[in-house]
Amino acid sequence: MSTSVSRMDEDQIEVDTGKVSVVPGTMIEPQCATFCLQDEDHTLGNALRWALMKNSEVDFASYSIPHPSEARTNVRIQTSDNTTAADAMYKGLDDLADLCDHVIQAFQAELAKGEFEYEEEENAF
Amino acid sequence: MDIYNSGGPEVSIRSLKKDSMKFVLTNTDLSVANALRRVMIAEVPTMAIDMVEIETNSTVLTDEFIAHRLGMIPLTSFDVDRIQYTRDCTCTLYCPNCSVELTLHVKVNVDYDDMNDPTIDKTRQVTALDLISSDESVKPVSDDKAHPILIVKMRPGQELKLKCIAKKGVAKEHAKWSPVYGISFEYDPYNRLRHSHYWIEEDEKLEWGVSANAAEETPVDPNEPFDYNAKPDKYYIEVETSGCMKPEEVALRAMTIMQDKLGGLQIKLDDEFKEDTQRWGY
Ligand SMILES: [Zn+2]
Repeated sequence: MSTSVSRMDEDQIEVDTGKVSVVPGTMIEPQCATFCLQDEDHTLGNALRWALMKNSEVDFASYSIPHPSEARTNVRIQTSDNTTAADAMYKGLDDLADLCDHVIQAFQAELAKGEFEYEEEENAF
Repeated sequence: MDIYNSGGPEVSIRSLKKDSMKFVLTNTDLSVANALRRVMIAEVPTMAIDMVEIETNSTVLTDEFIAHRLGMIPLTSFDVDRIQYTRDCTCTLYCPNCSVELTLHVKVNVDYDDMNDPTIDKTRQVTALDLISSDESVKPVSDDKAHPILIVKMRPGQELKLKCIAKKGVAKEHAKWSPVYGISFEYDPYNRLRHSHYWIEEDEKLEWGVSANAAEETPVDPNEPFDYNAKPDKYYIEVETSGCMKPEEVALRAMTIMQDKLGGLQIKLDDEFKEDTQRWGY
Protein backbone atom coordinates (compact mmCIF):
# COMPACT_ATOMS: atom_id res chain seq x y z
CA MET A 1 0.00 0.00 0.00
CA SER A 2 1.25 3.43 -0.87
CA THR A 3 0.39 6.81 0.59
CA SER A 4 1.91 8.52 -2.39
CA VAL A 5 0.56 9.75 -5.68
CA SER A 6 3.98 9.39 -7.30
CA ARG A 7 3.00 6.31 -9.28
CA MET A 8 0.63 8.49 -11.28
CA ASP A 9 3.57 10.30 -12.83
CA GLU A 10 4.48 7.29 -14.90
CA ASP A 11 1.33 7.66 -16.94
CA GLN A 12 2.10 11.22 -17.99
CA ILE A 13 3.18 11.78 -21.56
CA GLU A 14 6.69 13.15 -21.91
CA VAL A 15 6.24 16.39 -23.80
CA ASP A 16 9.91 17.10 -24.25
CA THR A 17 13.04 15.36 -23.09
CA GLY A 18 15.24 18.46 -22.92
CA LYS A 19 14.99 20.81 -19.98
CA VAL A 20 15.59 23.93 -22.05
CA SER A 21 14.43 24.27 -25.63
CA VAL A 22 13.54 27.02 -28.04
CA VAL A 23 9.87 27.05 -28.93
CA PRO A 24 9.78 26.31 -32.70
CA GLY A 25 9.31 29.37 -34.86
CA THR A 26 10.04 31.92 -32.14
CA MET A 27 13.71 32.54 -33.01
CA ILE A 28 13.34 34.55 -36.18
CA GLU A 29 16.72 36.13 -35.51
CA PRO A 30 19.30 35.42 -32.78
CA GLN A 31 18.15 38.48 -30.82
CA CYS A 32 14.75 37.03 -30.01
CA ALA A 33 13.58 33.68 -28.76
CA THR A 34 11.01 32.02 -26.56
CA PHE A 35 12.62 29.40 -24.34
CA CYS A 36 10.67 26.54 -22.87
CA LEU A 37 11.86 25.45 -19.42
CA GLN A 38 10.72 21.97 -18.48
CA ASP A 39 9.61 21.37 -14.84
CA GLU A 40 9.90 25.01 -13.85
CA ASP A 41 7.21 27.31 -12.48
CA HIS A 42 6.72 30.78 -10.95
CA THR A 43 9.53 30.07 -8.47
CA LEU A 44 12.15 30.41 -11.17
CA GLY A 45 10.12 32.15 -13.87
CA ASN A 46 9.38 35.36 -12.03
CA ALA A 47 12.86 35.77 -10.53
CA LEU A 48 14.48 34.98 -13.88
CA ARG A 49 12.28 37.53 -15.64
CA TRP A 50 13.45 40.13 -13.15
CA ALA A 51 17.12 39.15 -13.59
CA LEU A 52 16.75 39.38 -17.37
CA MET A 53 15.18 42.83 -17.18
CA LYS A 54 18.16 43.99 -15.11
CA ASN A 55 20.36 43.42 -18.16
CA SER A 56 20.42 46.70 -20.11
CA GLU A 57 20.89 44.83 -23.39
CA VAL A 58 17.54 43.12 -22.92
CA ASP A 59 14.69 45.02 -24.56
CA PHE A 60 11.96 42.65 -23.51
CA ALA A 61 11.66 39.75 -21.09
CA SER A 62 8.60 38.00 -19.77
CA TYR A 63 7.46 34.57 -18.74
CA SER A 64 4.25 32.60 -18.89
CA ILE A 65 2.93 29.22 -17.92
CA PRO A 66 0.85 28.15 -20.93
CA HIS A 67 -1.21 25.60 -19.05
CA PRO A 68 -1.48 24.91 -15.29
CA SER A 69 -1.38 21.14 -15.70
CA GLU A 70 1.73 21.11 -17.88
CA ALA A 71 4.94 21.50 -15.88
CA ARG A 72 6.67 23.99 -18.11
CA THR A 73 7.37 27.69 -18.34
CA ASN A 74 7.96 29.81 -21.41
CA VAL A 75 10.40 32.73 -21.25
CA ARG A 76 10.38 35.30 -24.03
CA ILE A 77 13.52 37.39 -24.56
CA GLN A 78 14.25 40.14 -27.07
CA THR A 79 17.61 41.87 -26.98
CA SER A 80 19.54 44.67 -28.66
CA ASP A 81 21.96 43.90 -31.50
CA ASN A 82 24.87 43.79 -29.03
CA THR A 83 23.94 40.34 -27.78
CA THR A 84 21.70 37.36 -28.48
CA ALA A 85 18.68 35.97 -26.70
CA ALA A 86 20.62 32.83 -25.76
CA ASP A 87 23.50 34.83 -24.32
CA ALA A 88 21.07 37.03 -22.39
CA MET A 89 19.41 33.90 -21.03
CA TYR A 90 22.76 32.52 -19.99
CA LYS A 91 23.66 35.79 -18.28
CA GLY A 92 20.26 35.94 -16.54
CA LEU A 93 20.76 32.47 -15.09
CA ASP A 94 24.29 33.37 -14.08
CA ASP A 95 23.29 36.63 -12.40
CA LEU A 96 20.50 34.97 -10.47
CA ALA A 97 22.85 32.21 -9.26
CA ASP A 98 25.29 34.92 -8.10
CA LEU A 99 22.46 36.61 -6.26
CA CYS A 100 21.55 33.34 -4.52
CA ASP A 101 25.18 32.98 -3.52
CA HIS A 102 25.06 36.48 -2.09
CA VAL A 103 21.98 35.61 -0.01
CA ILE A 104 23.65 32.42 1.27
CA GLN A 105 26.72 34.39 2.33
CA ALA A 106 24.57 37.06 3.97
CA PHE A 107 22.73 34.33 5.88
CA GLN A 108 25.89 32.59 7.00
CA ALA A 109 27.47 35.87 8.09
CA GLU A 110 24.36 36.69 10.09
CA LEU A 111 24.31 33.24 11.71
CA ALA A 112 27.99 33.53 12.59
CA LYS A 113 27.44 36.95 14.16
CA GLY A 114 24.70 35.50 16.33
CA GLU A 115 23.17 38.87 17.17
CA PHE A 116 19.62 37.70 17.50
CA GLU A 117 17.18 36.30 19.98
CA TYR A 118 18.12 32.67 20.39
CA GLU A 119 16.22 29.90 22.07
CA GLU A 120 17.07 26.21 22.14
CA GLU A 121 13.88 25.03 23.79
CA GLU A 122 13.64 21.42 24.87
CA ASN A 123 9.92 21.23 25.49
CA ALA A 124 7.99 23.75 23.51
CA PHE A 125 4.60 23.29 25.10
CA MET B 1 22.60 48.40 -14.28
CA ASP B 2 23.41 45.54 -12.05
CA ILE B 3 21.35 42.85 -10.44
CA TYR B 4 22.59 43.80 -7.00
CA ASN B 5 20.55 46.99 -6.49
CA SER B 6 23.49 48.76 -4.81
CA GLY B 7 25.18 46.30 -2.48
CA GLY B 8 22.93 43.31 -2.95
CA PRO B 9 20.45 41.55 -0.66
CA GLU B 10 20.92 41.76 3.08
CA VAL B 11 19.67 39.34 5.70
CA SER B 12 18.94 40.22 9.29
CA ILE B 13 17.84 37.44 11.61
CA ARG B 14 15.49 38.65 14.34
CA SER B 15 14.97 35.43 16.26
CA LEU B 16 16.06 31.84 15.91
CA LYS B 17 14.37 29.01 17.73
CA LYS B 18 14.58 25.25 17.48
CA ASP B 19 11.78 25.12 14.93
CA SER B 20 11.17 28.70 13.86
CA MET B 21 13.12 31.65 12.55
CA LYS B 22 12.21 35.28 11.92
CA PHE B 23 14.32 37.23 9.49
CA VAL B 24 14.20 40.33 7.34
CA LEU B 25 15.40 40.23 3.75
CA THR B 26 16.19 43.64 2.28
CA ASN B 27 17.47 45.25 -0.88
CA THR B 28 16.15 42.77 -3.41
CA ASP B 29 13.17 42.24 -5.66
CA LEU B 30 9.87 40.73 -4.58
CA SER B 31 10.37 37.90 -7.10
CA VAL B 32 13.60 36.81 -5.39
CA ALA B 33 12.06 36.89 -1.91
CA ASN B 34 9.08 34.96 -3.23
CA ALA B 35 11.34 32.40 -4.91
CA LEU B 36 13.03 31.81 -1.56
CA ARG B 37 9.63 31.38 0.10
CA ARG B 38 8.38 28.99 -2.57
CA VAL B 39 11.53 26.84 -2.57
CA MET B 40 11.45 26.56 1.23
CA ILE B 41 7.86 25.32 1.10
CA ALA B 42 7.96 23.03 -1.89
CA GLU B 43 11.46 22.07 -3.01
CA VAL B 44 13.60 21.35 0.03
CA PRO B 45 13.80 17.54 0.28
CA THR B 46 12.89 15.69 3.47
CA MET B 47 12.05 12.13 4.48
CA ALA B 48 8.46 10.89 4.78
CA ILE B 49 6.73 7.54 4.87
CA ASP B 50 5.78 6.67 1.29
CA MET B 51 4.87 2.99 1.37
CA VAL B 52 3.17 0.96 4.08
CA GLU B 53 2.96 -2.82 4.17
CA ILE B 54 0.25 -3.83 6.61
CA GLU B 55 0.43 -7.34 8.03
CA THR B 56 -2.29 -7.18 10.66
CA ASN B 57 -4.84 -4.50 11.29
CA SER B 58 -7.80 -5.17 13.55
CA THR B 59 -8.14 -1.56 14.68
CA VAL B 60 -11.19 0.56 13.92
CA LEU B 61 -9.33 2.46 11.21
CA THR B 62 -8.96 1.08 7.69
CA ASP B 63 -5.54 0.22 6.23
CA GLU B 64 -5.49 3.20 3.87
CA PHE B 65 -6.61 5.55 6.64
CA ILE B 66 -3.64 4.46 8.77
CA ALA B 67 -1.25 4.56 5.80
CA HIS B 68 -2.31 8.14 5.11
CA ARG B 69 -1.80 9.14 8.77
CA LEU B 70 1.65 7.55 8.78
CA GLY B 71 2.63 9.51 5.69
CA MET B 72 1.89 12.78 7.48
CA ILE B 73 4.25 12.12 10.41
CA PRO B 74 7.31 14.38 10.17
CA LEU B 75 10.60 12.46 10.19
CA THR B 76 13.95 13.94 11.20
CA SER B 77 15.75 14.81 7.96
CA PHE B 78 19.01 16.41 9.08
CA ASP B 79 20.90 13.73 7.18
CA VAL B 80 18.72 13.68 4.05
CA ASP B 81 21.67 14.37 1.70
CA ARG B 82 22.99 10.89 2.42
CA ILE B 83 19.84 9.30 1.00
CA GLN B 84 19.15 9.05 -2.72
CA TYR B 85 15.89 9.61 -4.55
CA THR B 86 14.48 6.24 -5.59
CA ARG B 87 14.22 7.49 -9.19
CA ASP B 88 18.02 8.01 -9.20
CA CYS B 89 18.72 4.68 -7.48
CA THR B 90 19.70 1.44 -9.15
CA CYS B 91 17.01 -0.56 -7.32
CA THR B 92 13.50 -1.10 -8.63
CA LEU B 93 11.31 -0.40 -5.60
CA TYR B 94 13.42 0.50 -2.55
CA CYS B 95 16.74 -0.34 -0.95
CA PRO B 96 18.89 0.93 1.96
CA ASN B 97 20.42 3.60 -0.31
CA CYS B 98 17.11 5.27 -1.05
CA SER B 99 14.86 4.41 1.89
CA VAL B 100 14.56 3.88 5.61
CA GLU B 101 12.43 1.18 7.16
CA LEU B 102 10.20 1.81 10.15
CA THR B 103 8.21 -0.91 11.86
CA LEU B 104 5.28 -0.83 14.22
CA HIS B 105 3.77 -3.67 16.20
CA VAL B 106 1.23 -3.05 18.93
CA LYS B 107 -1.05 -5.68 20.41
CA VAL B 108 -3.39 -4.87 23.26
CA ASN B 109 -3.83 -7.87 25.48
CA VAL B 110 -7.11 -8.69 27.10
CA ASP B 111 -6.78 -8.59 30.87
CA TYR B 112 -9.97 -10.12 32.27
CA ASP B 113 -9.37 -8.73 35.76
CA ASP B 114 -9.31 -5.15 34.45
CA MET B 115 -12.12 -5.71 31.94
CA ASN B 116 -14.88 -5.05 34.44
CA ASP B 117 -13.16 -2.24 36.31
CA PRO B 118 -14.51 1.02 34.88
CA THR B 119 -11.81 3.08 36.61
CA ILE B 120 -9.06 1.61 34.42
CA ASP B 121 -8.57 3.22 31.02
CA LYS B 122 -8.33 0.34 28.58
CA THR B 123 -7.66 2.48 25.51
CA ARG B 124 -4.15 2.12 24.12
CA GLN B 125 -2.94 5.15 22.21
CA VAL B 126 -0.66 4.16 19.35
CA THR B 127 1.62 7.09 18.62
CA ALA B 128 4.62 8.01 16.48
CA LEU B 129 6.79 6.89 19.41
CA ASP B 130 5.74 3.29 18.68
CA LEU B 131 7.47 3.44 15.29
CA ILE B 132 10.85 1.73 15.41
CA SER B 133 13.26 3.12 12.83
CA SER B 134 16.11 1.17 11.27
CA ASP B 135 18.08 4.39 10.98
CA GLU B 136 18.92 6.56 13.99
CA SER B 137 18.99 9.73 11.90
CA VAL B 138 15.52 9.20 10.40
CA LYS B 139 12.83 8.81 13.04
CA PRO B 140 9.55 10.53 13.94
CA VAL B 141 9.98 14.08 15.25
CA SER B 142 9.29 13.84 18.96
CA ASP B 143 10.13 17.07 20.73
CA ASP B 144 7.18 16.77 23.00
CA LYS B 145 7.25 13.34 24.61
CA ALA B 146 4.10 14.12 26.64
CA HIS B 147 2.02 14.73 23.50
CA PRO B 148 3.35 12.49 20.74
CA ILE B 149 1.59 12.29 17.36
CA LEU B 150 -1.41 9.97 17.65
CA ILE B 151 -1.84 7.36 14.93
CA VAL B 152 -4.76 5.27 16.21
CA LYS B 153 -6.51 4.36 19.48
CA MET B 154 -6.84 0.66 20.26
CA ARG B 155 -8.98 -1.49 22.55
CA PRO B 156 -8.11 -4.83 24.21
CA GLY B 157 -7.83 -7.65 21.69
CA GLN B 158 -6.85 -5.44 18.75
CA GLU B 159 -3.55 -5.64 16.93
CA LEU B 160 -1.64 -3.49 14.45
CA LYS B 161 1.49 -4.73 12.72
CA LEU B 162 3.06 -2.95 9.79
CA LYS B 163 6.22 -1.94 7.98
CA CYS B 164 6.75 1.56 6.61
CA ILE B 165 9.17 2.62 3.90
CA ALA B 166 10.26 6.24 4.26
CA LYS B 167 11.60 7.90 1.14
CA LYS B 168 13.23 11.16 0.19
CA GLY B 169 10.98 13.57 -1.63
CA VAL B 170 9.88 17.15 -2.16
CA ALA B 171 6.59 18.87 -1.36
CA LYS B 172 6.05 19.63 -5.06
CA GLU B 173 5.05 15.97 -5.27
CA HIS B 174 3.19 15.64 -1.96
CA ALA B 175 2.82 18.17 0.90
CA LYS B 176 3.94 15.56 3.44
CA TRP B 177 7.52 16.20 2.28
CA SER B 178 7.42 19.91 3.14
CA PRO B 179 9.92 20.86 5.85
CA VAL B 180 7.81 23.87 6.79
CA TYR B 181 4.51 24.02 8.61
CA GLY B 182 4.06 27.67 7.83
CA ILE B 183 5.76 30.71 6.44
CA SER B 184 4.62 34.23 7.13
CA PHE B 185 5.69 36.64 4.44
CA GLU B 186 5.00 40.35 4.66
CA TYR B 187 6.19 43.53 2.98
CA ASP B 188 5.03 47.12 3.11
CA PRO B 189 3.01 46.91 6.37
CA TYR B 190 1.54 50.40 5.88
CA ASN B 191 0.37 49.50 2.38
CA ARG B 192 2.28 52.46 0.95
CA LEU B 193 2.50 50.66 -2.40
CA ARG B 194 -1.24 49.93 -2.37
CA HIS B 195 -0.70 46.28 -3.30
CA SER B 196 -3.40 45.37 -0.78
CA HIS B 197 -7.00 46.32 -1.14
CA TYR B 198 -8.73 45.94 2.18
CA TRP B 199 -12.32 44.87 2.47
CA ILE B 200 -13.96 47.29 4.88
CA GLU B 201 -17.27 48.08 6.56
CA GLU B 202 -16.68 51.79 7.09
CA ASP B 203 -13.16 52.74 8.11
CA GLU B 204 -9.97 51.06 6.88
CA LYS B 205 -7.73 52.42 9.68
CA LEU B 206 -10.11 51.30 12.41
CA GLU B 207 -10.87 47.89 11.00
CA TRP B 208 -7.37 46.92 9.81
CA GLY B 209 -4.64 47.50 12.37
CA VAL B 210 -0.99 47.50 11.32
CA SER B 211 1.19 44.44 11.96
CA ALA B 212 4.11 44.25 14.41
CA ASN B 213 6.49 44.70 11.46
CA ALA B 214 5.16 48.24 10.98
CA ALA B 215 7.42 49.31 13.88
CA GLU B 216 10.34 49.10 11.43
CA GLU B 217 8.82 51.45 8.85
CA THR B 218 7.59 55.04 8.78
CA PRO B 219 3.83 55.57 8.64
CA VAL B 220 2.34 56.93 5.46
CA ASP B 221 1.46 60.61 5.54
CA PRO B 222 -2.07 60.82 4.09
CA ASN B 223 -1.16 64.07 2.29
CA GLU B 224 1.89 62.74 0.48
CA PRO B 225 1.40 61.97 -3.21
CA PHE B 226 1.31 58.32 -4.29
CA ASP B 227 4.68 57.19 -5.61
CA TYR B 228 3.78 54.87 -8.47
CA ASN B 229 7.47 54.05 -9.10
CA ALA B 230 8.04 52.69 -5.59
CA LYS B 231 8.89 49.02 -5.28
CA PRO B 232 8.95 46.76 -2.23
CA ASP B 233 12.43 46.05 -0.89
CA LYS B 234 12.00 44.85 2.69
CA TYR B 235 10.48 41.45 3.40
CA TYR B 236 9.55 40.16 6.86
CA ILE B 237 9.70 36.39 6.79
CA GLU B 238 9.03 33.84 9.51
CA VAL B 239 9.64 30.15 8.87
CA GLU B 240 8.17 27.51 11.12
CA THR B 241 9.42 23.98 10.48
CA SER B 242 7.89 20.63 11.32
CA GLY B 243 10.99 19.89 13.40
CA CYS B 244 12.43 17.69 10.65
CA MET B 245 15.35 20.10 10.20
CA LYS B 246 16.57 23.42 11.57
CA PRO B 247 14.89 26.54 10.14
CA GLU B 248 18.20 28.17 9.15
CA GLU B 249 19.08 24.93 7.38
CA VAL B 250 15.82 25.13 5.38
CA ALA B 251 16.60 28.68 4.23
CA LEU B 252 20.19 27.89 3.27
CA ARG B 253 19.25 24.70 1.47
CA ALA B 254 16.50 26.57 -0.40
CA MET B 255 19.02 29.02 -1.86
CA THR B 256 21.39 26.18 -2.77
CA ILE B 257 18.55 24.34 -4.53
CA MET B 258 17.78 27.51 -6.48
CA GLN B 259 21.45 27.69 -7.55
CA ASP B 260 21.42 24.03 -8.61
CA LYS B 261 18.33 24.68 -10.72
CA LEU B 262 20.00 27.64 -12.43
CA GLY B 263 23.24 25.73 -12.99
CA GLY B 264 21.32 22.81 -14.47
CA LEU B 265 19.49 25.13 -16.84
CA GLN B 266 22.77 26.68 -18.00
CA ILE B 267 24.13 23.25 -18.91
CA LYS B 268 20.96 22.39 -20.82
CA LEU B 269 21.05 25.75 -22.55
CA ASP B 270 24.62 25.05 -23.68
CA ASP B 271 23.58 21.64 -25.03
CA GLU B 272 20.64 23.17 -26.86
CA PHE B 273 22.77 25.81 -28.53
CA LYS B 274 25.69 23.67 -29.66
CA GLU B 275 23.90 22.97 -32.94
CA ASP B 276 22.46 26.46 -33.16
CA THR B 277 25.91 27.99 -33.01
CA GLN B 278 26.58 26.47 -36.42
CA ARG B 279 23.18 27.46 -37.69
CA TRP B 280 23.62 31.14 -36.84
CA GLY B 281 27.35 31.31 -37.34
CA TYR B 282 28.27 32.78 -33.98
ZN1 LIG C 1 17.27 2.19 -3.94
